[in-house]
Formats: sequence, C-alpha cells, structure tokens
Amino acid sequence: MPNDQQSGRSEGRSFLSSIKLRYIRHIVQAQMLILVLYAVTNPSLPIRLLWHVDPLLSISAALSGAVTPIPLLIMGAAMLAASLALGRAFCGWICPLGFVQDMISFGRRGARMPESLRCLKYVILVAGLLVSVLAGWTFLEWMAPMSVTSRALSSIWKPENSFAVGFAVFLVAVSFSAATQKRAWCRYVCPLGAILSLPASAKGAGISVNQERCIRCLRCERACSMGIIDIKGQAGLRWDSECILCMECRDACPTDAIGPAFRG
Amino acid sequence: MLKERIANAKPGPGPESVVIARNGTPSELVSAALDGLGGIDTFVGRGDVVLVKPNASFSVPSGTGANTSPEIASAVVRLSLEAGASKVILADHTINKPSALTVQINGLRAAAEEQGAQFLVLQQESDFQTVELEGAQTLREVEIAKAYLESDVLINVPVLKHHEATGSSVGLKGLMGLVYDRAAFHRQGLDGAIADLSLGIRPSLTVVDATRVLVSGGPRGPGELVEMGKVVAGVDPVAVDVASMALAYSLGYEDFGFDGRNAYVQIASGLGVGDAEPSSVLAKTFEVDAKEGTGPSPPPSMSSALPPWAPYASLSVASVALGLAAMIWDRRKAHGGNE
Amino acid sequence: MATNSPFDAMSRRRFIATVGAGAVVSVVGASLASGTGKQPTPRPPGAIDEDGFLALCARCGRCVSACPNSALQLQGLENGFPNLMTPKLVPSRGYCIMPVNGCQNCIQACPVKVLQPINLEGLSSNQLSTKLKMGTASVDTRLCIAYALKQPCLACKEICPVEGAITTKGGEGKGSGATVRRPVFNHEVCVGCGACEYACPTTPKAVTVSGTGAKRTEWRA
Repeated sequence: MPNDQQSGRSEGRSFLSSIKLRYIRHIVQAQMLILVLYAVTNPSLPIRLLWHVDPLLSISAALSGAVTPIPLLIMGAAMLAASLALGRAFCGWICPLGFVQDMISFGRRGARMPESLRCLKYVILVAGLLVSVLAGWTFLEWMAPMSVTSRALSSIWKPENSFAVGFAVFLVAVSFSAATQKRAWCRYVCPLGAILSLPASAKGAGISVNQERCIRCLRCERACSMGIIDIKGQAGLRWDSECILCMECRDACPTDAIGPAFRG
Repeated sequence: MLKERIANAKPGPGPESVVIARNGTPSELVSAALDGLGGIDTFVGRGDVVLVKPNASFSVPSGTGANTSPEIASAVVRLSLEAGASKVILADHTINKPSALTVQINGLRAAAEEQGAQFLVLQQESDFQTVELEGAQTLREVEIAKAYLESDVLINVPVLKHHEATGSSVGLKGLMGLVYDRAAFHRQGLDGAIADLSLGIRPSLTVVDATRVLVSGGPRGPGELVEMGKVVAGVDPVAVDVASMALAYSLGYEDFGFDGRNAYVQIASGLGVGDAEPSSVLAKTFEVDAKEGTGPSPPPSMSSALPPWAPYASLSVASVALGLAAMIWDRRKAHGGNE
Repeated sequence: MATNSPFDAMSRRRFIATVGAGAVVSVVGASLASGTGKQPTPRPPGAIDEDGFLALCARCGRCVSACPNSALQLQGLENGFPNLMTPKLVPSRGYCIMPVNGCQNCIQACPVKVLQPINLEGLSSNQLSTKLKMGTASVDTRLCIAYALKQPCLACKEICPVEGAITTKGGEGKGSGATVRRPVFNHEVCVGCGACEYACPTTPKAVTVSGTGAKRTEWRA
C-alpha cells in the first residue's frame, strides 16, 4: 500500500526503533580508540586488558613452546567463548582499526573483490599458528588490530622513532579499505576476525528479518559493512559467521523490517 | 652601560678584583661576594633580561659536587630580581638526558621556580644559533644558545670541581653548557675549543660555587668532597678560574694546577680573554667574611598540573556529545522529511 | 533463516585444500626467513629469554612510547623477520636511565610482561649489573680520540652513571710528557645502558653497546 511504503518510518514506530544504532556504535568505538590513545601516551597505566583479549597472542605464544602464559590463555579462551554468543561483535563495536575503517568509508562503493578472497584470512591464521609451532616466533602480531593501532599511535607519539615500521600495517589496512570496499581488511585479511568467526554460530547474536515488512529495496545489501547480504541472488537476508553486528542493515531499512536478535 | 656602572660602584675591593667570600650560608656568601665587587646593581640594571648559567648537567642529587648547588643558583636569581631585572632565566644544555628529569633530580629547576623564575632547558638545535668566533684557533664557529644572545646580562654560576679530561672545571669549562654540539669540542681539541668559546661568550659576572668541592672523580663523581664553604666572584672569567683552582691546589690537589693540566686557561689568556698569571691574579684577590643577614622569604611556588587523564576525559565527553548531536540531527532530518 | 559459514562459500573439500596449500606455502616461506641477526642487539631492560620474547612480544610499541629518553625503537628487517617490530635499545638515539633513577617505564608499559620488573633495592651503583644487564659496552681503540689521537676526551666516562664501569689509565707524568687519560671498560660492572655510546663524539662511534652478556629473566605472570 503506497502510504505504508512512503511513511513507513513515522507510523507506529517506537522511539527506540527510530534511533539509528550507528551513532551509539560509533560512540562506543570512539571510546575504545580514546582508551588505546590514553594507554599509549600514559604507559605506566596498567591498561593491559586491551591487548590481552586477543586470543592469537596467547595461543601462538603457547604453540611456540617457549612460554606458556596461563593468564593470557584464560583471557583468550574467554574471548573465544564470548564469540560463541556474540560472533564478531568485537569487530563491529570495539576494534579501533574497524572504527578507523568505518570513518573513512561512509557508504562508499569501491572495487569489487572476489568472494573467495575471504579464505585469505583463514590462510593467514593457519600460517601464523604453524610458524609459531615450527619456527618459534609469531607474525600474527604484525596484523593484530590492537597492536597495529598502538604501534601507529606510538609512532606519532615518539615520531623520531621508526615511523615506517610503526605505521606500515596501519596504512595498508586503511588504504585497502579506502580503495576497495568497506572494511576490506576485516573481510579478507584480519586473522583475529578469522579466529573470532570460527566459534560464531547461528544460535548466538545476529539479526532477524520480518519478511512481511521487507520490500526488497536492497538498501540493507548496500549498507552491509561486511558485504554478506545477498537479496538479489535470492539468498535473502541470512545470518553469517562474518556478521560484525554493526546493525547498518537495520539502520538502512526503511520499513523497520530488520532488528537485532539473540536466538539462544 | 657596564663601564658606567663600574664607575659609579660602591666602595669595596671593586669590580676589577676577584672576591672570595667565606663563613656564611650559601645565600650570605653570594651576597657578600657580590657586595665586594660593588653590589649586584653594578651588573644588573633595571629592566635587564638576565641569563644565569649554572652547572646542571648531571642527574645526581644536590650536595654531591657535580652540579652547582641549588642554594647558590637560587641566591643569584633572587639578587638579580631584587636589582630590578625584568626577566631572569636559569638555563643549561645538560649532558644527562632527558634534561627535564636531570634538572629535577639535581634541584636546579626547583632553584629557579622557588624564586618565581624559569628554568630553560636548552636541547633542540633551534635553541641555538651559529656564531663565528673571531680570533679563534681551533673552533671557527659554534652554535651558541639564543637565550644568551638575546639576554642583556649573563651571570655564569659554575661549580668548582675535578674533571678527568682537563684536570678541573670551573667557569670557562662551564660555558660549554651554552653550546649545542659538545662532541665537536672533544673532537677538535678540548682545551683549544674551550678557550675559543670564551671569545664568543662573555659573562658579565662569574660566581663560582666552592662550597662543597669534588676534588676527585669529576665531573660527575662520586669522589672525594671537601667542605670549603666559599664563593668566588669576579668579572675576569680567566682570573676567577685561576683563583678558584688555587683554592683546591693549595690543599694539595694537583689536578687543579697547570702542570700538564687545565691548558685551556692559559690558551684563553693567550687569546686576550683574561689574566691567567697566578701571582697577578692573587694580587687582586680579596677574601671577605659574609655577615649575618636574612634575605626575603622566597615566594610560594605555584604549580597547577592537569591530571594526565584530563585531555582524554574531555576527548571522551566531546565524542559522546558529537555522536548524540549527530543522532539527534539525523532524527530531526528523518522526521522533517516525512511531514 | 538458513545459517551461513565460511564452509558454505565453497565446497568443504576445496576450502580445506585452499587453506592447507596456502598454509604450507606461507610456512615454508616464513621459516626460510627466520634467520635472526648475527649480533644480538640490546633489548629493553628486564627482557625475558630471547625465545620467549620472540614468541610473546605483542609488537605493540608501548614500551617505545614509554621511554622518557627515547632510547627504544621498533626494529625493521635488520635482524630478520622474527625481530621485525620488536623493540631494541638504540644508544645513539637515547640511553636507558634506569641506573640513574630506577626508571622502569617500559617494564610497566609492557602488556604481556616480556619485560619483567627488576628489583634494584639495596644495590649500590657498581652492583647494578648483578640484576640489570642489557648488554656490554666496549671501545674500538682505533676510533677513540684518547687512544688513537692521544687527545683528552673521556666523554664516555663523564656520562657513565654506573660506578666503576668505566675507569681510566694513563694521565701520568707532568708537562709535555704527560700521557692522556684513556677509558677502560669493565665488562662485569657495565649494565649496557648505552650512555657512553650516546655521548661518544666520534663518527662512527668508538664506543658501542652490544647485547652480549645480557642477563635475561624468566616469564612470570
């Protein structure tokens, strides 16, 4: 019915549903970036949790056999357990590198990348873990988003020091996303994203679609940060282990057909 | 200006002499030594910008003889302010880094701030300016602190001490704290370079801290300390160095003599900077006894430091405000479009 | 709603094959590049054993921004891939002031504790090297002003904060026959802070600090 399609937003819409979640999310992401900045410039602060939540750090260290950091392994395990329920929510709400990518790619549409490229991050993950086992050191930390961000901030804070080494990966990540697609780093490269997506399951947090309200306008498909919505291909709006729970689909939907859900 | 002030100076041994003050607190010693030269007004005029240059190079606490005592430096700053200086700066290019920490450990920063003055740490190349040294034989040009070039009066306030490389270190050697590249001095011939520097930097007055003298293990120490309780002051920087070194030499510390040591003093004298002939210097040296007297109490130090989390808390608040504002603006726009 | 996982994007067999092949290639390549530098470079103070360090260092750069004297730097490829983005002491840029005032900023900053706290309580200056030792300083007498040019220098001894780490010989005799004082380095007492290398006025530096002799600790939570 024409009236519904035009003014679907203001009719029968509660206050909560009319708020764009993107602003709340960006506020939370900004706090995380400010926290990392604070931690880098005030090094005596015991803000270590930011780096401890990365399971790659402790797992690869343990695999090398040289050191077994039990407290860090516990933290990492907790993080993986959390992703059973929350999937890649860390990527969408906490990760400072994700925030930077979100800020530089407001709805832009860039070059398309082949979908099979999504395997790359799993290849990197497995390679990194194997290097730990066989060679005793880890390269995953070159790409761990918290380290990438803190290195870049450290290079600005102490500019006389190894600017190239500190900034290189950060620049690669950001330019990759700026030049191709939203969150290209997160989609194709990030090993932390790879390992967090593995425990993610359909029973955890995700989105739900009200099929009666959906008008096939495809705005959600364009808005999706991770490019995992495929209306045109008749696959419909399905939950995906790559979903970072950014809720851009919900914010974009003109008929309020999409909402967050926890299917327990 | 200085010559006129010398002509009008109060009676006493006079500005041409070298005055050694003994028997008093550091503050009393400085006052007595300067009074012997004609009073601080002889050197500092109303409205002058005064640069006070202590030895502040080493990150060791005060009382170990490696740096000028904070009490001596503080007294010189106070007297300069009382003479009507418009600005007094305590400055040095320290050896130990970071400089800010060094001057905190050795107490020289506090010495400036308790008198309401500022300690200027000289560290960037932009703090210095290249100056050509006319008549120099080793160093043709040197980068000298702009703070000196822009000041009206330089009061050099070194500490008398042993120095492993040259023998001893007093005022002439202490001027190295006003240059950028001390490595060049070591490379091109230390004694010649120190002498050449004195052609480019001319203190109006030198006040030597000889209260507690490091007679071995210098310039940093640790070493043997001698409680000498004296302050030496004068206009001729070479003569002041000679008179100060004589104090230690006469106690048997041969490194304070000229036999194969401290060549820079004689070289400087040869360049015409001052009088290094020991008998001539001692002939115009006077000892004075510091009198009792209480100076004005130092002003309370005012320091307000923001807590370290302050800028980040404000960033956080700003980001929340910005996000909420954007959200409200967006809602308004959406509702407006649907009317 | 149907579920979706990476395993659905392509057939499971092909997925595993792709991952496996890629992993093998990466591993071979990375292992080939795992040769570390020839000379051990000094690490920040309190560093754990080198194997543990390479395994656990988060390459986060927090120690580098913590150092008040800008003494630390993240390495490039000069010591091989395993050391890329790990910290090292660069005395020509800045020296460690821990022997001066007990600074442990880098140690406090490290989020993974590959830099362990050092207790220097009760140690006199010449005993510091029993607990704190990042490396050892030595002089190349062909490059040293005092040794090679027989001119007075001793910039290294002047700045050295550790009692007895640098002593002198020479300086005997009087007048024109006097010999110049030359620095002598005590490898036992030296803590490897790099102040001497920092102060050395020659190019290239006559005094350098290498990582040999460093005392490493064990990782503790």
